Amino acid sequence: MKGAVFLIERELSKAKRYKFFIAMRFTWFAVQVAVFGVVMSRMVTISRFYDFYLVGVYSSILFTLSVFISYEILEEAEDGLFEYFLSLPMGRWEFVMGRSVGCAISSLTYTIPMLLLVLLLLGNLNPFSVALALLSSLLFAIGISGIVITFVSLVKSSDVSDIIFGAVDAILVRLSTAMYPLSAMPSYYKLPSIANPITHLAEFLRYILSPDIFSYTCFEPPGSAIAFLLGFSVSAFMIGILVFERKVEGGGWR
Amino acid sequence: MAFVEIINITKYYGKNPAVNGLSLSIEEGEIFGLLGPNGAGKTTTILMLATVIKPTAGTAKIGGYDIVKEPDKVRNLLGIAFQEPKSTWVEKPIEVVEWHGRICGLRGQELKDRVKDVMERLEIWDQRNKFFYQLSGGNRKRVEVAKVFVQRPKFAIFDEPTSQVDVLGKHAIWDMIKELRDSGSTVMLATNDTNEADIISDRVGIIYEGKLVSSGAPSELKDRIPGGDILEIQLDVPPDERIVNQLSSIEGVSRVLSENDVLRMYLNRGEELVPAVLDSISRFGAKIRYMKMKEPSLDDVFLYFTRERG
Repeated sequence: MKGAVFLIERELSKAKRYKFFIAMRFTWFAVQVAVFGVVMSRMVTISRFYDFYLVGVYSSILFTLSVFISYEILEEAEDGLFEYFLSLPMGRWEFVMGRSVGCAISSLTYTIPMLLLVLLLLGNLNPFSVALALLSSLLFAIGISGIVITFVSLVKSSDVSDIIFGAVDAILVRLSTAMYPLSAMPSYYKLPSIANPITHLAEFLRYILSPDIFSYTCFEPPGSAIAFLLGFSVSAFMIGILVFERKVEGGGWR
Repeated sequence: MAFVEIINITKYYGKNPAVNGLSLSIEEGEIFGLLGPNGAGKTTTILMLATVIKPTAGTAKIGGYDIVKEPDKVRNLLGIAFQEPKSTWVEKPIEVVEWHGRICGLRGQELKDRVKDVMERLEIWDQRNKFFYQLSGGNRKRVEVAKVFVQRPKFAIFDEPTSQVDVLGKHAIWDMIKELRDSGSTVMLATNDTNEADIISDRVGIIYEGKLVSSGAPSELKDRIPGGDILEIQLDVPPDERIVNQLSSIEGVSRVLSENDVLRMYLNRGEELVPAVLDSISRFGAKIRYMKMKEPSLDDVFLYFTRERG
């Protein structure tokens, strides 16, 4: 377990180097909610679409950042660090846990200014709601990070990973309830959207941060959304351990 | 008693064997030099021992633990300084070395003292707060080996620890590797620098095309060359095949190598054969520019065993 803790600590120590990146993403987010969100909510007739949009855009940016941060394992592999980590005195499960949780906490940390802005705009600063929002976001980010790290370590190719994650990012955000409710989707988009973790994060956040909008967009009780997120992060972690134990080796990066 | 036992280990990348049925053992508390040309399989062997890659066949035991069946236990025993320094460009040497010490179980003042002592001896203490990208290649290498010296593992692996390091730095690293051995660690040193292997190894194994071709103490390996004396002769013209054949036929000459205008002859009782050698050369009308006799170096041993199979 100590190995995982040290990996998490190492991941977090990198955060200070990303202050410009965080400022840039926050600026993008602020412009998005101040301009795009406002204009869109005037065009969409659903009541309180702006609140709906705020939570959705936060969910999608947390997804994108989780992928981006976890993706750094590619850069580390090119610097040769991957072999170093695999040689350290810790189990592969500690490596998967340390990297997944470390990347997830980093991603969450980078999005905290955005979450705060969302909370302010929604007018909900209830500590219990905030704590639940952070917890669900962390579960989601752990799952995404675990999948990205495992996939990238297995594929060992920045070209292949770039193509796949570029496509996955575009598809997952759009085939979710981040930007529009499930009821507005054609039936053939509904099934993939229901299986999409971004949907469940967005739904759960709406329930705890703004129950009014949840009441007319929901398709599942909040308990099942959080159960999905928990199952998703645990599954990603277990798959990561299995793959790392059996398949992942150092060397061979392209 | 063998601390490391490599048993018929093989690693294929696709259809190509990088290591092919390698077996050797390393005694507890010795420095074992793994010597081989580029691409011989040294780094692949090391990565298998470090449990970073998995053998295609065979296995190894380190401190009694099997690298395939008990990799977690093996990793608790070893520390490795990689051929290419392992760090991101925006890390600082002090962060890299301290973090390594902590993940290997060191804490508090002991960690601080060891880090300072090692970094001072390697002359990188003054560079400790620079970013990695600001360091020279030699200093990056020093940071890489510093991690293992701070850790003091039971089994230390160094992969070309002094490449890019200046002469003073090389001697400091060699001294520290010997001290590590003296403090009880078993050391594997992979290198293609025969001088380095000769100076600090208790035993040397020569690996070529993924196979062990010879092993023993450096002095034993030198004695193992048929024709332990080496006579080097530079002629005024490149020696043709007839001269080489004539010299090879002299009784007591075990091998003649020709490179440009230099002949390298491996002889038994070299001093007794010099007259016959001179006579043979003069018969072909060639003139001698210089001639020298020397004891074989590990370079010669290396060349002998690798060219024999090349």
